[in-house]
This record gives sequence, structure tokens and C-alpha cells, in this order.
Amino acid sequence: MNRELKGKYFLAAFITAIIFLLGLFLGMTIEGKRVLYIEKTSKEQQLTFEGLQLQYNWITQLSQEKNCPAIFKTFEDYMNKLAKSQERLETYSEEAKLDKEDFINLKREYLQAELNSWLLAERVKNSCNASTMSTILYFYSNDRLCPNCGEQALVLSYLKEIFKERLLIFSIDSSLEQEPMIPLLRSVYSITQYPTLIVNDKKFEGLVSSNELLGEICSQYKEKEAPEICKKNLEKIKSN
Amino acid sequence: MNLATEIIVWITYFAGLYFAVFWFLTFIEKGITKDHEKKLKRFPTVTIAIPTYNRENTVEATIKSALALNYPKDKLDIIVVDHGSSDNSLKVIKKFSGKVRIFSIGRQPGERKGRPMNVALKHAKGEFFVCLDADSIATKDSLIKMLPYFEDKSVGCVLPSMKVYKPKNFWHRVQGSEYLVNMFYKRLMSYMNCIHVAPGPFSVFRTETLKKIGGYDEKNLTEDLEITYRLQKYHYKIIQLMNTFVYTIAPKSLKELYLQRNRWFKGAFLNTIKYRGMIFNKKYGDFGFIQLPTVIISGGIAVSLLLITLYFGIIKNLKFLLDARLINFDFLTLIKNLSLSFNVFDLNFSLICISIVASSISLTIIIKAFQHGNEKILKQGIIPVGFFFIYYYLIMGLAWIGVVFDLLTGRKQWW
Repeated sequence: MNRELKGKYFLAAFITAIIFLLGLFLGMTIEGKRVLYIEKTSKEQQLTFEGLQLQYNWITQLSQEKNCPAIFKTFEDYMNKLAKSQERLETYSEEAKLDKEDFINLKREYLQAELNSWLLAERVKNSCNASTMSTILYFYSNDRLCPNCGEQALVLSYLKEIFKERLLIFSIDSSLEQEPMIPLLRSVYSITQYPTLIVNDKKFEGLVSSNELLGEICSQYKEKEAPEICKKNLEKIKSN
Repeated sequence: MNLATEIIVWITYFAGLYFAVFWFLTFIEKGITKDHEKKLKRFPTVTIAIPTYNRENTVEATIKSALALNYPKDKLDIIVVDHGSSDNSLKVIKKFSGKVRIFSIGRQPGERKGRPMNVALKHAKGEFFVCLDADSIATKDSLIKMLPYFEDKSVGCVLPSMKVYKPKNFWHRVQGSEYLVNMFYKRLMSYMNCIHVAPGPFSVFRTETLKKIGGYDEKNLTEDLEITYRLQKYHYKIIQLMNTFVYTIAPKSLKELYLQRNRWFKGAFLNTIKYRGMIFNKKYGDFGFIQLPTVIISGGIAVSLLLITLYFGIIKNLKFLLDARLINFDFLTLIKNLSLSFNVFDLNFSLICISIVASSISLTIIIKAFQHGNEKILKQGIIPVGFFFIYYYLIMGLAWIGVVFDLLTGRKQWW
């Protein structure tokens, strides 16, 4: 019996390859669009940050402390957007095939934005006498160096949802060696492992649970003005 | 995802898409034509072999369906071989004494269905030989519709379309969808002469051909697949019909389904290894080039897809649940403030492009398979058909993992 092989094998391989190439091409096109999108978002956020600085200057130079709540609100919105973009940037950067360099530069931009915000937050805290506003500097790294960073991020997101504008979290990607501020901060805070958290100047190394962090953040409040969760936490500690 | 995982994922997608495109091209090229009913010019004698092993509940209906065939009774030679049943099978069979020939043989260790089949083959009086599993029901016109295809001397076997007998539950309906799609694929394979299995329920052979190629392998796990490989080795044509039906009792639970598929896949794997000389051998055409490699590669794809699904769909969520201990499992706080910030750029366009093509092909094949199998998707049920379309590969992957595990640990097959 004549059992000829057919050219269909090659045709099927060709069509499959075309579909794959189309997918790859789409992926690459989107990658470029992602870079542009993050750049655009970054510019918008830069503008918001400048607005924040202006608000701060206005408050301090004209002694307008009564307007402190307004700046807290702007800060909160700004930090939320920054965190979301940064999260998106992390995902895009992980999936990037071609524009890796562009993504590293964008990450540096975001890191600088985080650090600038942190410095401004410290100044706002002093000027507005906001002793109950907590700040967390969160040093994280890639999966290889920090297998627990995923868990820590979950805990921090959770706390952020509880305290809202009373807690500002600044995430520092310590794997960005290109950024001169990273070695400097590492040396100042003696960072040797990840995750490391600086919560209101107190250092926590390794994975920290929400209960531990609650204890630290809640200690900032006088009993009367403490949020509900802190009161509950305090009762729990007392009953134990 | 690290590079090695990413490479495995993309190879899996490529292989899966390649097979889908290949068979879709065959479908476009050949189409599925309706079987024109050919008139049988003469009525040759036909032996119907019914092997039984602990089938007391079903064998009666099987024998009755053989006796009710629309075919001259003096031309039918029905042989029932009981392979050492420990239940009441023999008692049930004996009710048909005089109408069927009965053989009762003991069961030696290691013997499988090939043994009673060979006993039937040895005593067969028919020019044609039909295997009818003792859990299957032949339709009246099947034989009369199938025999005319043997006018072509190169045809060694003709297969009916298999359907699930009286589907009662979800798993029956899922398998009902699978059978229809499988029959459709086998019809496409039939065009390329690369069918790899002539299943137990009502496959018709020439008796002379079966004897010439040495009868059944008595110790083979899947003797129906093995004999088909041999037919292919001897270059016989195998034809899949779409207008002739046989009903078979399908596994009723997930566990039974797993065990059945584990045995089928193990048999397919071992027989493919046994006939490895045919793989990519030009002498065997498409059977060697696409069908035999498919048996192994499809297992690889199913396992790989299962692991990918487990990793992304389950393990990551499980990890989230485990991590939730750090926030005292207070999901409510996280969820109530959840703001969805969807962005079109977040989508993985490469994967979406491939998924759309693969899903469109699969869906077209399912719709066409239902049309040609004279069944309606709505009647079968959207949920079982949807399950078959989206999740069935998980069960296949699981059965293949079982095969790998059994082979590595040397676990014996008892069922």
C-alpha cells in the first residue's frame, strides 16, 4: 500500500509558528506600550508630588497647620497610586523580554519617587505634629534573595487597609544596585537580610506578622485616639 | 517563572497547538462526508465473540443485542467465552444455550482479554469476526451497514461510532462528549489511515486477517490497541464509520474513569514502546509520523498542562491561604477595600493570541463532532460539555501521572 507522507506536517508547523510569532509580536508591541504607559503615569505622579511639595511649603511658610488634614489626604491618594503603579511595574518588568533596560530605568524612577515621598512624609509629620502617623520603610528584594517578600507584602497591604492615611509605606527595591541611594540606605540601616522593615525608626528583620506590626504602630497612639483595631489588640494583650 | 519552567510551558503550548492545527487542516482538507449506506451484496457468515469476566449485570443485554441484529440468523455465529468469572456470569450466559456457543475457560495469572478472544477466534466459523465487549450493546443495523466496506480487499477492520449507554450522571455526559469528539478525530484519522485502536465494542475484522497476523496478544493490557498496531504494521486499512452506533457502559464515577484511563494509557504507552520501530518510519506513513508519537506526546502535554494549572491555579492560591495566617485570616478587610484597577496592558497578549486560536479550533471540533454524531450540545448539557472543553485534560493528566508512577514503582495492574 502506498503510504505517502504529506506536506501537511510542514504546513501545520508553519501555521503554528505563524500563530506563535503573531503572539510574540503582540507581546512585544504591548511591552513597548507598557513602557510608555508607565512613563506617562510616572510623569503624572511626578506632577502630583510637586503639588504635594507646594502644599507643604504653603503650610510651613504661611503657618497654615490647620490645613494639615488636606495634605494627609493628598499624600494618601498619591501613595496609593504610586504603590499600584509600582506593583504593575514589577509585573511588567518580570514579563519583559526586550525592554529590560527601560524597565530598570523606570524602576529607578519609582524608587526615587518613593524615597522623595518618604523624606517629604517625615517633614510633614514634624510640621503637622502628626505623631500618630506611622511610616514604614520596606526593604525588599527579588525572590531568590527574599523568598518571604510575597508574604510580607500581603501583611503590609493588610495594615495599609486598616490604617489608611495614618500609615504610609515606602517600598524600597534593594536589588536596584544601579541606584546610589541603595548602598547608602543599606549601610545607614545596617540591612543584611530581606525583608527588613523600619517602622517609625525601629528595625524588624525577617518576616513580621501583622500582630507584631500592630503592636508597634498602635504604641504611637494615646488610648483615646487609638483606632478600633488597636483597642482590640490592647485588650487581647491585657487578657493574655 | 524561571527560564526552564517558561520553556516547558511554551513547548507544551506549541505542541498542543501544533496537533490542533494539524487535525484542523485535515478537517478542512477532507471535510466529514456522510457515510453513504452501501448495499450488502451477499450475507457472509459472521462470528460475534463476546468475552466476559464478571459481567453478570450486563452480559445478558449484550447477548440479546447480538441476537437481535438485523442479519440472517443462520449466518450469525455467536460465541460467548467466560474467562473464569467468579460471579453469576456463567449462569446468565447459560440461559442462551442453543442460541449461542458457550465456552468457559479458567483464568491463569497474567491472562487478559486476549485469551478468551483467541478461544473465540480458534472456534470461529465466520468469514468475519466481531468483538463485542460484554458491557456493550450493538444496534440492529450495525453489522449490515459495516460489512459492505470490506468489498475493498485492503480493508482489515471497520469501526462503528461509540456512544455512552443510557447516560445517567455528570461523568457519563462528560464521557459522552469525549466519545463524540474521539469518533470525529478517528474519522479524520481514518482518512489518513492512521487509526490506532479498534475498541472492544463491535469492531469488525476479517477472520482470516486476524489469524494471519497471529491473533490476540493474551497478556496485553490493551489487546484491542495492540491488534490495531499490528494491523497497521501489516498495512491494512481501518475505517471509522459515523452512521453506525454501538452503546457501551461508561465508568460512572471519577475514580472508575481514572482507573479505566490509567489502564488505557498504560497499555498505549507500553504498546507504543513495543512497536517503537514504527515511529517516524516512512514505511508506515502517517501512522508512524503522527499517530504513534501523538500517543506519547499527548500524555506529556496532558501532564504538563495539569502541572501548569496546579502551579498557577492551585498552589499559588494555597500559598495565599497559608500566608493569610500572618493577617489572622482577616480576608474581609482585604476584600472590602479591594479596588479593581484593570488595565488592558496587564493582559498577557502572547498567551491570549494562542489561547484564542486553540480554543476556537477545539470549540469548532466539538460543535462539528456533535453535529456528525447526531447529538445536541444542549441535550447533553452545557455544564458537562463545558467541563469536557475546559477541564477534561486535568483528568487525562492525572491518569498519565498515575501511569508514570505505576511504571516507575512497578505497580501491577489488577483491574
